[in-house]
Amino acid sequence: MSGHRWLDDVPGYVLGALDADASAAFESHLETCDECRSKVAELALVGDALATAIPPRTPPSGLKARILSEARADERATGDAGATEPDDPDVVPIRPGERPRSLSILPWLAAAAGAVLAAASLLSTWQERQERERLVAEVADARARIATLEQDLGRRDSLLALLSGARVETATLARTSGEPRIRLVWNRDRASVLIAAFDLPPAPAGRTYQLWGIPDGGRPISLGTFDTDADGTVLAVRAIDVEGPLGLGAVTEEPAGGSPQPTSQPFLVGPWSGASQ
Amino acid sequence: MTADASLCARLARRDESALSELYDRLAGRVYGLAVSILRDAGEAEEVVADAFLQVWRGAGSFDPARGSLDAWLIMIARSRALDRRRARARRRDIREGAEREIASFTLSDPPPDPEERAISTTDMARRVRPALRDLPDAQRQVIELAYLGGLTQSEIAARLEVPLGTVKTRMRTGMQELRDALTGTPEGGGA
Repeated sequence: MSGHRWLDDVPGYVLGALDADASAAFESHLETCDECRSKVAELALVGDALATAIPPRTPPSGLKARILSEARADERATGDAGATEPDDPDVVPIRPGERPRSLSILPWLAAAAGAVLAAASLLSTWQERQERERLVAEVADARARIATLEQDLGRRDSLLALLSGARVETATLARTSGEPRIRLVWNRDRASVLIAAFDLPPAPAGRTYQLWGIPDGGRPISLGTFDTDADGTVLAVRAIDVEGPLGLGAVTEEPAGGSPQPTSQPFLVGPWSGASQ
Repeated sequence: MTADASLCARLARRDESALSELYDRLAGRVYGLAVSILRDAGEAEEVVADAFLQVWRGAGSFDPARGSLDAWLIMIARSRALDRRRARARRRDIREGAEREIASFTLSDPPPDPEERAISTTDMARRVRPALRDLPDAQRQVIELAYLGGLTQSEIAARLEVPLGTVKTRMRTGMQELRDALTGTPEGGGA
């Protein structure tokens, strides 16, 4: 088995981890190489076993009922029982047009259960899986991209409207040391404030960050609570019901749910600068 | 007719009780896999639903003589979960976040509680878990990045900042160790 360079690609192939061109080259090699085929069959077992290494988890209650009811709805939509071809356009048929193989293959397999044959049958299963996996992946991929794009587009529209208003004020809140930083954009016409935070670790459990507007000589007015993602950033929009001018923006850490008035010294402060006064 | 083949035939006939049986048998494993890949309960739930419904819809064209129903369902779930993972990576291009996530992967995690441990009593699980634990970290890591992270060998090499050849060697050695542990026949070991 030494010196057969293709054998190096078998584990990657079985794990679906070959790069696209390497994968195509390996597949065409497989057609002519018994040694690689039997190795693929051998390691495919490991691929299956990996799934069993992962601790099972109890799925959320209600999931089973949901699946069964979707299956039932499906059934109603596609008509009669007994249909063996999926009618749902979302479903990628495994081998379009081919009927399920009859059981007549079983005695044949039993009669010829040599190691090579067993390997070949495992192999074809694996190749089918790869092909199926590829098709299913393509469809799912396309759907996920559309959903993402739609979501992004909607979000972008509303952000654009917020940023491009006529009566917009901005503030940058920072510590003297520099980080973390928060940038605020307050659109008075839309009564919304955009909060963009950087390098701000998520609040501890049971705590939240709260944004305040402080009118000159007045008491702080809550502009809402927010938290950051694990990477220390957030881009959030909060409704803000304030008419009068605000001199300062400030952020404190508060118990979850926020507080009517700050319970601690703000750790980020900055002046509002903008159009209308 | 094998148990698998008969379950398949019932699925193809649109027998809901077959779907229910399949769910009872495999939902825990499928959900565990999806959670391991996605680290997000909500997304994992969607993956489980998608995978079972796809099997329900496609059962008519599944050929039980050519592979097990379990392996098919798990393959679908893994592929769906990896799709979502990639879509999410595109959405939020936060490299450090992804890295932290990858670093937290582990195939040999002990099960979260004893009740759940009881679900996985297959021979395979009993053999593959200790074998994974015994693998050198470097070998286990490349297998996990491929299996749970959906990365190609080149992507793994870039992420770990090692040559592609090193990734291939680690993957090959690790997979071979696992195979030997599964079949109990070490190759060229002598003994």
